[in-house]
Amino acid sequence: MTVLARVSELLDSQQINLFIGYTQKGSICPLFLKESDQVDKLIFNEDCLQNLVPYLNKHEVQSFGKIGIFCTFSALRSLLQLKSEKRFSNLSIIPFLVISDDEFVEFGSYEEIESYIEKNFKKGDDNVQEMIDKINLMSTEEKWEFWTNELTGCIKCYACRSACPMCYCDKCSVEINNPQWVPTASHSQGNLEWHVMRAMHLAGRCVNCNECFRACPMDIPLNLLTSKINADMEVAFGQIPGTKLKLDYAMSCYKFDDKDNFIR
Amino acid sequence: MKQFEPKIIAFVCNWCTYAGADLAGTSRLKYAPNVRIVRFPCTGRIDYQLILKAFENGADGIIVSGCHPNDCHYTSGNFYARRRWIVFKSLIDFMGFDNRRMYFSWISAAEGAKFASFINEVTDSIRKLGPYTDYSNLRKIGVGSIGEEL
Repeated sequence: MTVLARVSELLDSQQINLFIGYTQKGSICPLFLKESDQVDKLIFNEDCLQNLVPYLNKHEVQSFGKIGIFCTFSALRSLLQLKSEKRFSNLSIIPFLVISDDEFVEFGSYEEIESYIEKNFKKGDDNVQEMIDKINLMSTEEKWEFWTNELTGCIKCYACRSACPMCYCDKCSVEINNPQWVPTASHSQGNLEWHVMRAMHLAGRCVNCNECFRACPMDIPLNLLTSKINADMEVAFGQIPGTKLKLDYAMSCYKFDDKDNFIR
Repeated sequence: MKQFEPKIIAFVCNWCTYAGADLAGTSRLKYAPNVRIVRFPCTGRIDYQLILKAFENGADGIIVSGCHPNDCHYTSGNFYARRRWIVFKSLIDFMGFDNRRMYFSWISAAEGAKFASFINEVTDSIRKLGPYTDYSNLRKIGVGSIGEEL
């Protein structure tokens, strides 16, 4: 059975009320299917990189209750991480990992996702790691110059926030103006604060899907910040987000022997 | 020429380091007057945004200090804080903040002498580094004449 046939079967039998997939309209964009008649518009190829899981955080999508979704490998990880954060308690989700037209994996439970990720786990993007290594070798002044140059371009559109599966707060700190933690203007100083804040809020939660980088209209490599923190946290606390169904959030637990050699 | 006097903001916890500072005072220990102490209920309350705000408003150095591990008044606040600093430090090192201007320490209520000597040491090393301009220079980008006044 092809994946399209399976999707239309699920939609017809009302096992799902909504299917989120990809379609081609000039460029690849997401497609929301409520009926099975448009199922042939769905496509899946190597250009379908967008992580669709952020849509599942939207109230209007959640109101459908039973949802099928195309997932890339990192999207599966974000799904698992969100579940470990106790999201989607009233939502039944059927994720599909498509390999080719006839070959796909349909996940019936989060345990299946967990074991699939464990079996097929691969470290993040090599290019990202290469870039991080390069920055690590820079001196403090060079790092500062690199980041202030990059972040000066930020236009504070918050596309990184919208595209991120882990940014689901109904009210974000940047929208709170008393106190005004992050200045609203797109100016170097506030940009820096926003990106520090974003990286800190994603510490130990980012699944390295690089969706923030793809969404950024100014091509700021902000995925490096979260990837770098994640790599360090893996060493320090031994946790990889999005790999376990039961995962304590690293920033809200502690060990007695956490390394504190920088504290005097 | 007048010697550069750094502005140092110390974020301290109420139960240990603040009491330690108090002890330094009542023991008549002399320490550098460059430090401005901000008292918090616990190190767990000290948000990393406060540190950025301190730098934004012209601090040349910051100190974060609280109870020794296992001594927290609230049992575990400093353990959470320690994790946060591990992560925050790795991030700001990566972003190129001048990490020589950030000091973390555990100072208990009985360590008035440690508090005094720690403040002196930090003040001396930041005085050698000079004023922190990286952050305040950002403020001037694209601002023109208003920025020059700042």
